Amino acid sequence: MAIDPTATAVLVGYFAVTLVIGYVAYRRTANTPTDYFLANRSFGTPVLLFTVLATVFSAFLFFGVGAMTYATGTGVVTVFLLGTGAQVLVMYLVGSPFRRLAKREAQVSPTEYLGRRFESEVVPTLYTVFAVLFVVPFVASQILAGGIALDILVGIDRDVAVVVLTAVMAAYIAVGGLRAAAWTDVFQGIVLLGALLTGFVVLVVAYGPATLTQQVLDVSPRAFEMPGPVGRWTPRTLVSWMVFFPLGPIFFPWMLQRWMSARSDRVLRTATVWWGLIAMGVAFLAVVIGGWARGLVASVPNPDYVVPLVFQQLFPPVVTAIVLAGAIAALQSSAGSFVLGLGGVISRQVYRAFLAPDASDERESAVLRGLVLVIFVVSGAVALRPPAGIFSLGANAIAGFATFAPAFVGGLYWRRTTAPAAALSMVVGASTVLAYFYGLVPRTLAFGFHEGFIGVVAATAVLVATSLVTSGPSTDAVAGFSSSWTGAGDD
Amino acid sequence: MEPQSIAPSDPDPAPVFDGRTRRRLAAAIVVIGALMAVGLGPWMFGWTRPLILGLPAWMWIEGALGLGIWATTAWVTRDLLGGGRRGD
Repeated sequence: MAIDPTATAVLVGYFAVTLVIGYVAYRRTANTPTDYFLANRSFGTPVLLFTVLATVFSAFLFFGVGAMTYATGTGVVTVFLLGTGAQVLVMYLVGSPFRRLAKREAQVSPTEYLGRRFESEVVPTLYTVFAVLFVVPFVASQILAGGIALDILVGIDRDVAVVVLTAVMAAYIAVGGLRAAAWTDVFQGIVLLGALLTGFVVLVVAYGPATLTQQVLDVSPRAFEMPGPVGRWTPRTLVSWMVFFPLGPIFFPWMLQRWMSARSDRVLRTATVWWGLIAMGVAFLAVVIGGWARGLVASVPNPDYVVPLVFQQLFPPVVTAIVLAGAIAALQSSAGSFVLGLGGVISRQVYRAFLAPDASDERESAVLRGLVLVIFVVSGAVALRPPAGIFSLGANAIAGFATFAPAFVGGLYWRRTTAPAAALSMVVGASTVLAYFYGLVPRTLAFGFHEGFIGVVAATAVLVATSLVTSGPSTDAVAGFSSSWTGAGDD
Repeated sequence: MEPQSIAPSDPDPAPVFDGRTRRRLAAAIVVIGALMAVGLGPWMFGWTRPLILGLPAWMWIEGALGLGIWATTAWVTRDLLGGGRRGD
């Protein structure tokens, strides 16, 4: 396919703005882990709001939700509409004490919280290992999605596009750290929201909503019913999602980092509450566009690309380019933040804890930047053969991190929670999700429930039972945790 | 545990987590759980008649329930932060 000059110009402009923002952020970033990873705990409401917004809305939302709706009907909207508000509550109940604790004890990584609370290197090491297993395939899927989208829509060779996307992300994240990620997230969030709104309005104006819906019903009469044309959205599936969806994203390394970087509790609360409202609206738009696509595009080689294909086939290049820039923004912001969060976890838990406890801040910052580059390279390599579709990879990451909720929440709110219980809970929960996802356990043994639900239930049961039969934590381990809510200092 | 004093000028006020707030938080969690459970209902009853934008009624009902959950969360987190008791 010939390279379209209009679309290419829009994309080149987008990449240029991203790199300029990254460079400006680099000039403002000191050579310390706190500044590199937490932007000196300085984020106000707008930056925190948009960085969470842009990072959560990855290719999972832009491509994955549309693809899932295209294939299984609009039932997925229930997950976002009912689960997002609960997600906000968990964000605040975890984020607030977590932020206070991190500030008081100068922590920059979630692993430091786990190590401090459980007086153990095993628990944070397990979190690190499982984080790699859940994050790298997810990041790879983001890069691959961008590569193939550029290939289909602009005519850039897929492998070249993968390299370009990886290089641009690696450049501004490795150099600028969290400040660069968050500042570009603001820009990318605006592009993303603009793209979705543009797509929605253009579709409605061009066809009319009633016509769009009728066209879907003509080819898929059960597309707007439950459990949908292929029976995906059953009560058990929805109950499963209602349990793990409000939990999972909160325990991503990058999300925990965002809470640490908030300037105050008021900022944290305002940003998360408004994030919830916007998230519901955006997810609704993504589902509706994906649903209408069923009547507009008869068949697609891969459902992951149905949304961009709708615009590529029906609208002029400039509209396609705007939507594509939104999609690239979505996946870049997510992949960048996931890699940065994972890099922070590895550097703290492996380099600082085991290899070089006395390393200088400058030395650690240099190692962190190197790690970010390595993770991007590994993810780019995995992008050539992703193990599943975008929605499934995103759901797997959400489900996997949801199984860490019992250990994190228990550590914050239940003094009886012990280190062996947290470790065993993580192993059982995360292994359950991975075993189902990679086919080591047949899905028939899930009895209609999602593996994320089974993993969370198993992790919770193991945490409670093991805590009750093992020796309680030391006074030092729990000192300061119950007071983290009031900020009154250590007990 | 005594409620913390929330000064409007405090740039980083601590959350209030006293007995009253704990009860309100528990009530909010119950309400959210109930709204989620109700959310399983609209499609079970087959409320698929097209409404706004040609989309079925159940999608809009889910949206209303979702807004209810969000509003409950917004209310209780504001209370935790002391915003609900400035006039006390």
